[in-house]
Amino acid sequence: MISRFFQRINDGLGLLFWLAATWLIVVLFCAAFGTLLPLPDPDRTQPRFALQPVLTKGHVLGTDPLGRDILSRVIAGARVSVIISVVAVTVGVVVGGIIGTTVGYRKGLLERVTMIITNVLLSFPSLILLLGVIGMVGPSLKTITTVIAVLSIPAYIRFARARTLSLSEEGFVDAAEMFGTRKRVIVFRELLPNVFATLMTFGLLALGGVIVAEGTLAFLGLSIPPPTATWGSMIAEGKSVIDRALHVAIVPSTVMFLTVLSLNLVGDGLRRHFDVRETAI
Amino acid sequence: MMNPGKRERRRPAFGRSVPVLLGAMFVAASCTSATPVGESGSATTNGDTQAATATTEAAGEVQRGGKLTVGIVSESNSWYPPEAEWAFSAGNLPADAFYENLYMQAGDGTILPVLADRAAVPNDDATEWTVTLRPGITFHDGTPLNADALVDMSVLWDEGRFATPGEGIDKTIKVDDLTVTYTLFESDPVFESTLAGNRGVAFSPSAARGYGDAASENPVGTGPFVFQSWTRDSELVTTRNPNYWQEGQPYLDQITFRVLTDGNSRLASLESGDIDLATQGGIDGLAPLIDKGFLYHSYTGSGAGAIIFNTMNPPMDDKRVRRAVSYAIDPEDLNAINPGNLEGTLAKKSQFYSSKSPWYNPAAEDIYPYFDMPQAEALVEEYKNDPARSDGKAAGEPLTFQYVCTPTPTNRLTSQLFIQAWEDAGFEIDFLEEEQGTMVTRVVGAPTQDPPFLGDFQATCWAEGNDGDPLPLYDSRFGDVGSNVLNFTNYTNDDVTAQIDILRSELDPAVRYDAAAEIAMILADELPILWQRDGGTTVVFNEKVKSVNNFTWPDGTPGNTMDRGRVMWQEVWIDGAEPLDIPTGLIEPPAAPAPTTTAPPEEAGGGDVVVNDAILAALPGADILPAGVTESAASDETEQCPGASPRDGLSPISITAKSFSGGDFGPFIGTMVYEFPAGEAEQYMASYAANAVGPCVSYNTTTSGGAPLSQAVVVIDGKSYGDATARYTIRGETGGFPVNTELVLIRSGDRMIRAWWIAVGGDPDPAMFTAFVDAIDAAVTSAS
Repeated sequence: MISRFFQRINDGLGLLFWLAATWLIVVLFCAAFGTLLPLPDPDRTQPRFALQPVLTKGHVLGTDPLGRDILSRVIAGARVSVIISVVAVTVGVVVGGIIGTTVGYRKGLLERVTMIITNVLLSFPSLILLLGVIGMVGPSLKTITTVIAVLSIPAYIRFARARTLSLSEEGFVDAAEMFGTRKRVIVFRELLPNVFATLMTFGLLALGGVIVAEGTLAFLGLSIPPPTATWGSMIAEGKSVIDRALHVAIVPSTVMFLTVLSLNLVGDGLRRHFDVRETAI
Repeated sequence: MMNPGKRERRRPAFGRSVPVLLGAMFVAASCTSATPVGESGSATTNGDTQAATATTEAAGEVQRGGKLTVGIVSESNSWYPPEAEWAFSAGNLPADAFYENLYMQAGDGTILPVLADRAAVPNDDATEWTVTLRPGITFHDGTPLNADALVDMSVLWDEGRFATPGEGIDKTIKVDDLTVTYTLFESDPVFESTLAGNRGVAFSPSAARGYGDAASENPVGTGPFVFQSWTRDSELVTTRNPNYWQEGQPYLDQITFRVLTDGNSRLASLESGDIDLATQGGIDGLAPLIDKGFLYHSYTGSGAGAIIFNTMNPPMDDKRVRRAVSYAIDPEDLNAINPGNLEGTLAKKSQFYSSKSPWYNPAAEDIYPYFDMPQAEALVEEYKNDPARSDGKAAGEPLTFQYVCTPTPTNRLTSQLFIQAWEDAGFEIDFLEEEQGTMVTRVVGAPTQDPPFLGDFQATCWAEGNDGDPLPLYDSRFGDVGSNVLNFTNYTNDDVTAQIDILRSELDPAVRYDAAAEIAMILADELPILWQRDGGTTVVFNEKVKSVNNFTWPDGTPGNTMDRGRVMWQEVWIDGAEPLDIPTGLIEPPAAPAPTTTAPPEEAGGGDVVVNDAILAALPGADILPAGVTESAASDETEQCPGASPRDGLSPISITAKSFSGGDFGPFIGTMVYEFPAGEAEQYMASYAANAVGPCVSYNTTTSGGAPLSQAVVVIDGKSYGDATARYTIRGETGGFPVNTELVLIRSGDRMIRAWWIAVGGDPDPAMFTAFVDAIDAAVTSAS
């Protein structure tokens, strides 16, 4: 029976997909219910218990340079990563999807202007742009989420427009047009549901990118101010003690790595499953 | 610095503050490096040092020759002392290779002669100090270090250029070939300490004139090593001075200073053998190297970690709140994450001076608010429930303050520790991270604030501390708020002021110590500054480098140098070194341009001075000037900028000046009367117009309203003046502060009157300025 179960998995999305999905469910659970777990306060400093190793009693993943429980902080950091990545990708998918689908279908001057702006924005090195904007507006959960979301919109516009261009040639669109359906209705009822299906898988892959981007900002000291835990800031704090307490940096790095890898695996699996082809992009 | 026409007559605190501020910023940077936690190295304390810890260097026989490569954090804006800003781990290390001071401060705080032959001799009121040089010392260009050189150095200091002002020196008068007398603007009982700083660095004036603007890249001093080449932000090479005045020294053939800005890279280069000696902020990253046999000397005399409070910004204007903030911090916790030494021993701090300083007052420890959480909670509650609480909130409302700090790794850790502690005590914290430059600007504030430079903060991390004389320290930190930009805490206290006055007027060391000790007591109680721990700088080096810490004073007194955070390169040698086959010649600077100094009034046109004096006497006084502006000088003067005047070969017969000042931040108002040979006044004004405002104004300026002289008569506010008039409006900036100037030139026959009005942070008052020019015109007309 067990072998049949695995056989079934492999016939479908594959073992790696399900392992990755399981990891993501754990991360989501921690983000949602981490505060309910019987763990030490992630912000409570105990300098005299600093840099305890992994598997220390009471601190399964050890403690950081301020004596804070690393497991608690990793779980607290999951909340930040999930909030930023999910909100930023959702905003990008919705706004970028609507704009991209609209201009891709209606074409004309609006499309040309939109694509020029999009191309200009995409031509900037995204990290530099991100650093510059965060440097100006100041780091906080709200600003970082907003800035990442806004800066990701052009990529979704481009993706949605490309998908729309191919969908526009499909028969169901022609049929709707023949019935005299208004263009706005065609965009929202016929095209967007199809575009969103593929855009979602694209967004799933982008979630990992957003998590890494937040981590980069945090590593550079431009993410949410301390003591709020983020994976990036934990890695940065671990850097200064890496010669004596490797686990301080390795634990959040590993968690971030596994999460991003899982997002990629799940995204790839879904893309294959929904047979999204990117050749039209 | 800000006066385009004439030297400052007062000690210009504002002018001094900019380089000092930059120095403070540097110190803040150097003290924010990460430090190992909970590890002790193999270091042992060197009992000979003052506030220094060190590994012990093995003794051995001196070996000559060899090349030493030193890794430093950064360099200097310039190697020309009048415009240089040096800090220990940056400029001072190379500078100590090719420059020497007249005096140096020893570890016990005493000032001892180096290039000077003996202690400086003051007059009764310490307004004149006589300095005698050692005989037989020459600069690297072969010119002698004598009284003429000191006089000429003073001229160069006063010329301005990018100038740091002359540290209160009015005149330098030659007494004999090796002796000069410095006349000060005001009494200074610790003037020797000034000569132990940048102002006392001996540089060749003839070389400086020869190099001109390139003097900043071509240092010519008397030091043990001769400057050879400098690639900015990369490498500076010096070679042995074959004519060094201390016999038998130096031992090394060459020292190369390499800039390695990243601390980890510096230590990695040291470990790999690319460099032999590195400087480091604190003890960051040292432990692994010490374990591998590298040696170090650590100096903790200045740049201590601190938190400063803005005592004019509620709730930090209430002593209870400041003390509660301090009571909440457990130094054991702080030491666990940010130890001040490799031994990890706890070092409590209670005042500016370290416990090894001669100015340290142990009694301050008894009243300093060290960790006591119940006390912290009680004070927070007391303030919260006080109906007259200073933050304007109702009784019972939360007590909140903003804490600002830089986002360096170590500061991030300490900030989080503090926030936790303060929240435990009952505070609510608004935490803000800012880059260092932004934070310093926030703390310093702007001249447009009321009072000026109030700042925009409540509490912020900072680097403070001192190992020098307490007078300049306390005078700048706790002087009048509006005129002392370095009074970051905005704290003033009549009792402190009274003790500062004693420091200023007394020469007796015991009396001065008592005054300084009393200030330490007041500050420990009032707590405008919360102390974390001592901080400082470190040099770390491989085992072949010897005698890093040694310095035998010229009189034979043994000493060490790391007690002052310096390395005396003439003492350093390398085990196993062999003489290098490299040129070690002296420097041949370009010839100085032909002298163009202005003839003193008594030597030329004496009769004209009478006329000029009449003009000066009739010039406007305090009656038409802003309140608080007083006359600061009225005397015969020479042009401040010999390089700029006379222009085009024009030479005034005499120059007479009168100036006013409204305190350290101005306004600066003044007039100069130039008497020219027939016809030259007109040419001079044309030259002035062609040069806009002239090179004397060396700060960042933009000019507008410069009136071309071809118009002959320029109308100012509906009136015309003299045979020819020009007016300039200068919008400038120095050290981040707006400096706005109105400048008027009035020619009457062969005389030219130059009048200026400099406002810091605002504009010269238009009505008063017109009245001022009116009065000048009347004076010129009546006297001529």
